[in-house]
Amino acid sequence: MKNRFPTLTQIIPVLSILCVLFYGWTAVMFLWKLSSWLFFLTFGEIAVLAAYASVTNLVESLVLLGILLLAAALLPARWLKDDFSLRGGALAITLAGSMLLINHLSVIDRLGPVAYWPLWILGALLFGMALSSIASRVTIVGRAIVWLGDQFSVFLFILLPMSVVSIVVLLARMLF
Amino acid sequence: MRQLSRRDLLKLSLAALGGAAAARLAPFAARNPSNGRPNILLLVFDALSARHMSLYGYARATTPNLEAFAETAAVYHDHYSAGSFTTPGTASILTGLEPWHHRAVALSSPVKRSLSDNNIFRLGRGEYTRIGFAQNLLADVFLRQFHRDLDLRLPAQSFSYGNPLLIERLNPSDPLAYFAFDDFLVGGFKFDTPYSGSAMLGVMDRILRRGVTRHPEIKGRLRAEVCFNGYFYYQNRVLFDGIFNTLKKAATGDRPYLGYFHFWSPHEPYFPTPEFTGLFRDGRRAVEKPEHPFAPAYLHTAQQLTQLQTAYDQYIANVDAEFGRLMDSMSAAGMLENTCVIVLADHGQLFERGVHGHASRLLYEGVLRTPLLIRLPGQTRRVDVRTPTSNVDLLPTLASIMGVASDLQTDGQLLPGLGGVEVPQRSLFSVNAAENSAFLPLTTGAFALIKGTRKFLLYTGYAGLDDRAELYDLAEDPDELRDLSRADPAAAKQMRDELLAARDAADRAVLSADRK
Repeated sequence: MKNRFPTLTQIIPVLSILCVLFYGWTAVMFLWKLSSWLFFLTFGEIAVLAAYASVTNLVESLVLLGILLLAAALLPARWLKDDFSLRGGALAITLAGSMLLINHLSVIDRLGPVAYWPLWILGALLFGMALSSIASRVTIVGRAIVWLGDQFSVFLFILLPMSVVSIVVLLARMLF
Repeated sequence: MRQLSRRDLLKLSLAALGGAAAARLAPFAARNPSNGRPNILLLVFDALSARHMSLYGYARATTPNLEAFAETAAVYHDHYSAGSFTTPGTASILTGLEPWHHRAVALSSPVKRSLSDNNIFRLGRGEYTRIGFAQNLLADVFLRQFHRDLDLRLPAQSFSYGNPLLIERLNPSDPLAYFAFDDFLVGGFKFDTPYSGSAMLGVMDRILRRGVTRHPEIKGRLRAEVCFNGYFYYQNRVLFDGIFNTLKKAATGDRPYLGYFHFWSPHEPYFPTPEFTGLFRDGRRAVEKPEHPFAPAYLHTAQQLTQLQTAYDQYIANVDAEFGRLMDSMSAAGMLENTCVIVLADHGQLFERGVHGHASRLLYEGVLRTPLLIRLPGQTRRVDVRTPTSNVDLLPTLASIMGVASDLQTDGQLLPGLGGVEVPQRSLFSVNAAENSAFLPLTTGAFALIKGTRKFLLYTGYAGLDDRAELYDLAEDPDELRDLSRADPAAAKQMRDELLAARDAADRAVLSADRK
């Protein structure tokens, strides 16, 4: 069973790409909201909001990573598992990126009627698969994705401990 | 052992009969639990302006049911909201404090944390079953903040279609969870940023929101019969039925109830049901008034305001009909006999000077003058009170009606008509300080002082705009068209000094308490 999943060294770059995208988006939005929160929330309360956001980002990163790992386990190994840091990285960029895009398009009202939404999801998946295929064939694209994953890994040393502390904070708030 | 005499037998027989009767009556005692205290039912209509209610003399028959209700109630004709939008207006209802004391002045703000126990629900502690419901998320912030004093908080999406609020499933008792999820990560209110803070939750939210329009109950009926307040799809008929059922259940409890129900309607967007959309095609136009330098950049045309005003009036009539239906249902079920019903609003609505709504800085009568009707259990005649009163008066008045001693802070007074004294020259304040920090002095804002028939307005501290003072005599000029501040500078100065002294004293008290 263990052989059906990629190794930890292949998983970490994909997780780091997901974390940077999700945490990064939230950080920008957090700064956008901060000016209004400062009108009526204390610094301690704003820190709690940051904790909620941090835990949410961790969960969404792990959920998407879990989906990719499940796909790697279920699909033929050469489709995804064997080169997970590259193909998984490409899919991570595409899926997380499409979520950011959907958020933006819905705000500017360019998303179209709900009937088109399955097309968006299908399109994102197809684009992700195409990108992962291109990445494995075109060396510069593949190297770029792997390089991104490696470079982003450093952020995990900040983001993951921050999320663990946030979990403790929120549990304490729920219990006491 | 002494033999029983005939007299003893008679006593025993009477005692047995009395015991049997008491045993039969006991269940009624359990079902009629108030032990002298009445149920309290507060119905708060968001953005209901007294200036648009036929009850208060408006030309269109917008409120026939409230007029019928008023025949056996105390009716307050010069009643004011302490704030011009939901956050300060509702906070003043719930805390009995002026906005510069409770500090819920910015959009979406909770009240000052040290006042979390200073609310109307605290009055009923131990004696009442306290129920809170607010369809407006800005008002729901306070119910979350006061959750320790609520026995039942109905989620804001109750009686609506679908459940777009994720947080209700996670941690509804943490007031900050609302700001984290509904205000930020998921994105319920999007005044300051339209984007969801979480990419994944944002997508899920959009799917859920879109999906709810395909709910079998409302599919194909949107805009005709179903209201949408920006986050919930609902029907007023279903909503009021839900409130009735909640009250019916509460009435069987072992304690009287204190119910606070804050309806979104008749707040915009206006969705009168088809039977009301044909009303008021009378050609009535909005009163033409000059533009105001503190109005927002985008102004509506007179024609647009007239159309919006008609839709608003239709919606008020629609909501009034639902109110009438609720009262009829409660009356038929015998639920009004021991219930004090209070009808009020958190603020009003403007249709003048190019401005529609209540989000502007303007503090004219349309946005500040709100209804207040109080019917005590068993009340058989109408009482009209024509001295100025405020929503901050509700807390001390509730304490009196509930028969409880209150040590809560309040800026209000016991209302006239319910034991309070009429003070014609009483000073009332209304505030729009949305552009201030709650933790700093309120230097920027629009402030109103109402005293007798005089109303003084001060717009101060806005960057790029000079301070502006206005003075009106509401008795002679109810449309506030003749500014007397130059004709009577002494009166204007006196009211300005009083207003600023009150504001500064409040700032000093709040900030010194913070430092301690």
